[in-house]
Amino acid sequence: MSNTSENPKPSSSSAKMTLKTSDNELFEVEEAVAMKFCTVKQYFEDEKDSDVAARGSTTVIPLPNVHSAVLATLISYGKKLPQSNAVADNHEEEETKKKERKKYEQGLLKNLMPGELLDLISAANYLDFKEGLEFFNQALADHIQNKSVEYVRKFFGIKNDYEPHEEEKYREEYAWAFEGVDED
Amino acid sequence: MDDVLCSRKLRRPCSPPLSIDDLPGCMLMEILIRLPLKSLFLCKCVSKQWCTLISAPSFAGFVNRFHASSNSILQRPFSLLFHYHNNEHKMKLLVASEVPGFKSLASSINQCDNDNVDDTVIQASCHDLLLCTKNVVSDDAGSSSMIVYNVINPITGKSVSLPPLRHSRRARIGFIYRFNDNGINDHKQQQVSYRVMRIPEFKGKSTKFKVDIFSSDTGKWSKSVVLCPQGFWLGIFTFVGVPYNGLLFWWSLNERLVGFDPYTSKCCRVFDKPVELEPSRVERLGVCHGALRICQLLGYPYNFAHPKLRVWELKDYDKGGKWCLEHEVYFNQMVSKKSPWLTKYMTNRILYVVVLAYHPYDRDIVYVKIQNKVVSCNMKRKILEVVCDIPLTHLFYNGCNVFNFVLPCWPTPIPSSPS
Repeated sequence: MSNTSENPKPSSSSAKMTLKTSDNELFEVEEAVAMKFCTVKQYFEDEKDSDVAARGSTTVIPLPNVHSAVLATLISYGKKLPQSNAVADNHEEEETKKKERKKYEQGLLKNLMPGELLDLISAANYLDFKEGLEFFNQALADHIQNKSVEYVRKFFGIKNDYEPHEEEKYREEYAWAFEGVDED
Repeated sequence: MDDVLCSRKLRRPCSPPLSIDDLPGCMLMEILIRLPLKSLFLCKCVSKQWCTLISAPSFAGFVNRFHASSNSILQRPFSLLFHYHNNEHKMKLLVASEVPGFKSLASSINQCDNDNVDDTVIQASCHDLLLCTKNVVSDDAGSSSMIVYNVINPITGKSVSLPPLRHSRRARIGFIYRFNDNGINDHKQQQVSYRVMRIPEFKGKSTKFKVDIFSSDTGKWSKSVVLCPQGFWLGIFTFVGVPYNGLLFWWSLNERLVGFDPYTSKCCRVFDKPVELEPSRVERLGVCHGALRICQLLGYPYNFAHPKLRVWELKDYDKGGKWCLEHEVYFNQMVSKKSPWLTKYMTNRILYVVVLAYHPYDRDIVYVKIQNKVVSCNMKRKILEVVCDIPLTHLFYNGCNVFNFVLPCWPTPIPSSPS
């Protein structure tokens, strides 16, 4: 995926930052969005402290653990979040924005492969992106919610270390937990 | 912290392998605590490591804390539990639910007492804990016979027996538990304590009456006297005490809602009746979406008018309480999309409808018994749908205790009492 920078809407802060991914792609991101990634925020603040002389060019912040495809999605999600420096909306505007966000979230999840959720969570964790973590953790939980044991094992790449008779006993004892589970 | 995922390489599209430092073990935790109870129990079967993680005492704490701040109750599956007499006059338990996962519940309830006898009778419930007796205690049984109550959690299979108590004819029972907030140590499981309150029957209105209270803290039954200056009057249709906001509520025949605290044996709340309440009986006291509700079926069965259902909700609980008429529906205006016979039946002048229970969190739905079926009734959309059959051939059903069993985010532990 290529650089996703767009012309920012006129807002109070249009300062931008550049993030560099593990596959050497550069992403220009509005400061307001980038600051939601607390790891980036920390890095930025450390850099500011360590070099008092004004830096003319934008800092490039390296993210060696994040792939471009993943970062693009996280940035896209970050942009849709209510901005902390935004002017307070009235109730109607807020409701409309909420609905828009809901629609966006549903669209986002529809286009994601379940496997990508793990990558997104791992990256959001690295970036310390709280809202992203909350959203993608819930999305993953919702995804595996009614799935079978075999599906879950395959999804997370976990080896079954139960003996067949142990597993059988468990399934009998807690039969209600296995009722109505989705077919694989 | 457990590092289940540390040694695992996750699938990623054309990217370098993740290093161990990238995957803190709590990552899995954050996903698991968002799963509903059923999935959590299923996930214990995924691997021994997962089982250890989920079974750890601290895990319950994480789950409870996460859900305390979310709206997850709005998606929790639930079932109605109630007893009926079958054609051989044997008492049976019906588990009526619109979602799967509860079929095994009935057998689980019966097995909790370690007897394979099919006669556990639920007497009261509080969330996912049930107060049961092993046998049907007949009203003819004299006071020389002893009754043993058990507190059971049908999900975990745990069961605790209370010391025997002298039987008391047509006594009313209430059961409530509380979490003791220690809050100091996050890793300690929350402590639970419970009370069982039994009100031996008395005739007429009384401002002072005796009760038997069991405390899980002492492990003993004790006698108390409860004072109720506004008067408390047990009606024949006054059933089990409804636990709500730390109190046990009963509808009093002198048209009041009364709440008692079994921890202090005090009468703590009295609410007057709704303005629109008719003199006929109050059908069902229950809780829906965090508020107390009562209802009345009117124009029926003696008036031969088309029956209507009115549902009131108690608002402003802490400010004196105000009943609001939430729903008023005529049954002949209701239709069933899936069962045309039901739509037709509702146009009969004489209908036999019993209100069973309120939906635990959907404020538009009430469950009723029509003919021999449990029917969900959406009062806003005026739609009826059959939930399940009640295996009866006779129409008479003395609507008694119906319990809402909502799957919690994590099973409630039953504290053991000093013996």
